[in-house]
Amino acid sequence: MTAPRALVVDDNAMTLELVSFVLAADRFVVQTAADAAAALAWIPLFRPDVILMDVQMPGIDGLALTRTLKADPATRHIVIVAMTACAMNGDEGRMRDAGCDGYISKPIEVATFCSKVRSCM
Amino acid sequence: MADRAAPNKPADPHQGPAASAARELAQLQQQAEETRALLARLQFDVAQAQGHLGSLQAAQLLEANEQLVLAMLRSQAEAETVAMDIAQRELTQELRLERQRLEAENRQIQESSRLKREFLSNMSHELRTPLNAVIGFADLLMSGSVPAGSSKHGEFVGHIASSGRHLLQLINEILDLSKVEAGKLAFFPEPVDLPQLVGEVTGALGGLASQGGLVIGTEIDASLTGIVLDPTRLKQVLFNYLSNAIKFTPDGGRVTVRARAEGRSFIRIEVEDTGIGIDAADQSRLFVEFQQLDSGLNKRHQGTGLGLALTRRLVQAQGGSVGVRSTPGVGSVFHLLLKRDAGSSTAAVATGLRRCLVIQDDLADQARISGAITETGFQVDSALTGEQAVVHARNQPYDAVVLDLVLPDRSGLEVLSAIRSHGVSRESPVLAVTIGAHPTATFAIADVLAKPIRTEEIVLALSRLDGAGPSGAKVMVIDDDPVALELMEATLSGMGASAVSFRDGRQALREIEQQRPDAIILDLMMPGVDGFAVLHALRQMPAWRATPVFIWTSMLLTDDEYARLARSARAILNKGGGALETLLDDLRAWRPAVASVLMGIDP
Repeated sequence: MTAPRALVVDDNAMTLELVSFVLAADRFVVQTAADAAAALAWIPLFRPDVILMDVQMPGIDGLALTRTLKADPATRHIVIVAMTACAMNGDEGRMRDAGCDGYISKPIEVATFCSKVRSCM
Repeated sequence: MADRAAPNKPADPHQGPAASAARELAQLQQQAEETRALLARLQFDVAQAQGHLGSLQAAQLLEANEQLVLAMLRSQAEAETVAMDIAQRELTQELRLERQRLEAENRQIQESSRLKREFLSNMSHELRTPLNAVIGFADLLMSGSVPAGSSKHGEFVGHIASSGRHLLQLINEILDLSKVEAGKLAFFPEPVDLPQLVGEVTGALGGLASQGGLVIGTEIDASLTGIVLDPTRLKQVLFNYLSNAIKFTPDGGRVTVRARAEGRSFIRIEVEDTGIGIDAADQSRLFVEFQQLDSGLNKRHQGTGLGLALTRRLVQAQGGSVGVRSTPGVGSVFHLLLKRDAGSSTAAVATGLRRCLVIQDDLADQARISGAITETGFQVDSALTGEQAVVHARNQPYDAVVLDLVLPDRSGLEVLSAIRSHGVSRESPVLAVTIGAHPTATFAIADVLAKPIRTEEIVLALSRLDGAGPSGAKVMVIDDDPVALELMEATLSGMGASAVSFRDGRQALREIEQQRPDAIILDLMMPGVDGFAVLHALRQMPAWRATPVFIWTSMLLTDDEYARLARSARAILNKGGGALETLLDDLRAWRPAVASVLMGIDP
C-alpha cells in the first residue's frame, strides 16, 4: 500500500508545522498551504487523499473551500477533515453540513491525531 | 305556534310603545306631584321659620338654590368626564412610550447578546490557536520522536516559548479591553516630556527595527509643551502603532514618529511608515476587534488582532480619536489626536473671577466642594435647597452649576428644569452629583459625577467645561427622541452653535438644502428613514458628501456596522456614560476643519 497523501491548509504557520510534522512522522506524504488559494493551486498537482482543513481563515474560509471541493466532481472524492479552534455548540454541525468527512478540534492531541485522521479515510 | 307569533297582530293595550309611554307619563306625573308636595312643604317650612320673609321671596330663594345645586352637579359630572378623558389619554401615551422603551431595550439586549456570542467565539479561537502550538509541540517533544539536541528540538522549544508569550499578550490585551469597555480603566495624567517618552518607546523597539535594517526617525515640534497625559497609556498606544509599522515595513524602510500641536488644546501624534500599505476598503476594519487583514506578512508576524482595537478604545476613553491614511505599496500614516491637557485643573480654571453655584443640602459636602472650587478661582454661591438654587440662578448668570440630584425639598431634576426653563443661567453648564444613574437626564447635564464625590473630580469636570467650541456653526441634529433633541439643542447653544432639529430622517434630508448645516449629529435607530439610510443618502449628494457627521447612538453596533459607519462618519459615540463629553471634544476638534472647508467653498 502506498503512503497516503495529506494536504494541510491553515493560516497559522505553527499549526502548519506541527500538523505536518506529526503526519509525516506517521508516514503520510505531506504538503502545506497557508490559504484557500494556495490549496486550490496545490490540489491538482499534489492529488491529496485527505485534506486537513482549518475552518477559520481570512479570505475564503475552510467551510467555503470545502463546499467548493465537494461540489466539483474532480475533487469530490478527497476526504476532508476539519480542524478548528472554534469549539462552540453547533460548529461541528456547520462543518458536516459543508461536507466535511471528519472533525478534529484544536488544540490537537498529538498521540491520537493520525489515527483519528485515518479513521475518517 | 302560529297564533303566538303573528307579526301584524294589533297592539296589546298592556304592551308596545304607547303603553310604556303612558306608564312613563303616569310615573312622571306622580313624581311631579310628589315633588310639588315636597316643595310646598319646604315652602311652608321656610315661610314659617323665616316669618319676616314673604312666601314669594322664599319660593324664589328655593328655586335659585335648586338651580345652583343642579348646575353644580352638572359641572361636577362634566369635570369628571374631562378628568377621565385626560387620565385615559395620559395612560395611553404612557403605555405607548413604555412599549417603545421596552421594544428598544429588547432590541438592545438581543444585539448585545449576539455581540457577546460573537466575541466569545472569536476569543475561543484566538486563545486555542497558540494553545494548540504549546500543547502540540510539548506533546511531540515528550513523545520522544524528536531527538533531544537536534535542531528541530530547539526550534520546537522556541515555538512553545513564543506561543506562550503570544498567549500572555493576548490575555493582557483582553483584560485591558474589557476594563476600558466597563469604564474601569483609570487614567493618571501627569506632565509628560514628549521627546523623552517617544525616545523610550523607539528605544524598546530599536532591536526589532534594526533586525530589518529599518531606520526610526522622530520629528517632535519643540514648541509642544504643557502636555498632561497618562504616560503609561500613551506609551502603550505608541508602542502599538510603532510595532505595527515595523512589522509591516520591508527591510531597509523607514518609520517616522511625528508630534505637533493641533489647535490650541490638542496634540496630534503620527507614525508614518514606508510599508506595504493598506487598501482603502480594509482601512475601516483596522481598528475593529479581531479583524486581522488578509495579508501574507500578517501571518508571518502573528498579531493578536486586538492591538489597534485596544489603541482606539484607549484613545477614545481619553476623549481623543484615531485614524489612518494609507496607499498600498507606498506606506501608511497612523495618527491619534489627544487633548493636550487631560487632567490638570490649573490651565483651564484659573482665569479670573467666574461664578459657580453649588447646590448641595449636606453642609459638610457643601463646604468641601465650595472650598475646592473657590481655590481654582471661582467665586462660589451656595444653595442648600432647590428653592434657593432657583432664585440664585434666576438673578445671577453662572459660568457653572454643581447640582446634587437628591435634594430635600425638590428633586434635583426639577431644579435643573427650573434653571433651564428661564432666567439668566438657563444655558449654564451643569455638573450633576448623584448616587444612582439618571440616564434620561444626562443629556441636559454636562457631566455626571458619582457619589461619594471627590473634590478633584469636580475640579477636573469643571475644567473640562472650558474650550473654544464650535461657536457660530450650524449643527443639524436628527433624533426621533424629543428629549434628546431638546437637550442637544441646549448643549449646542451653550457652546455657541446654533442647532436645527429634526425628528425624522426623511424630513431632514428634504430640508438640508435650505438649512445648509456645517455638521450633523445623527441618531441611528429611528422609525422610517434611519440613521444608516440618512448617512448613505448624504454621501450620495455631492454638496453634502464632505459634511462631518457625528453618530450619536444608544445602539450597540456590530463590527460590520461599525466598520461601515467608520468609513463616512466623523465620530461614532454612544449615548450615555461620558460620551457627551467626548462628543463636545469632537465638535471642538472638528471646528477648525470646518472653518477651512467653509473658506474654500463659500468665501
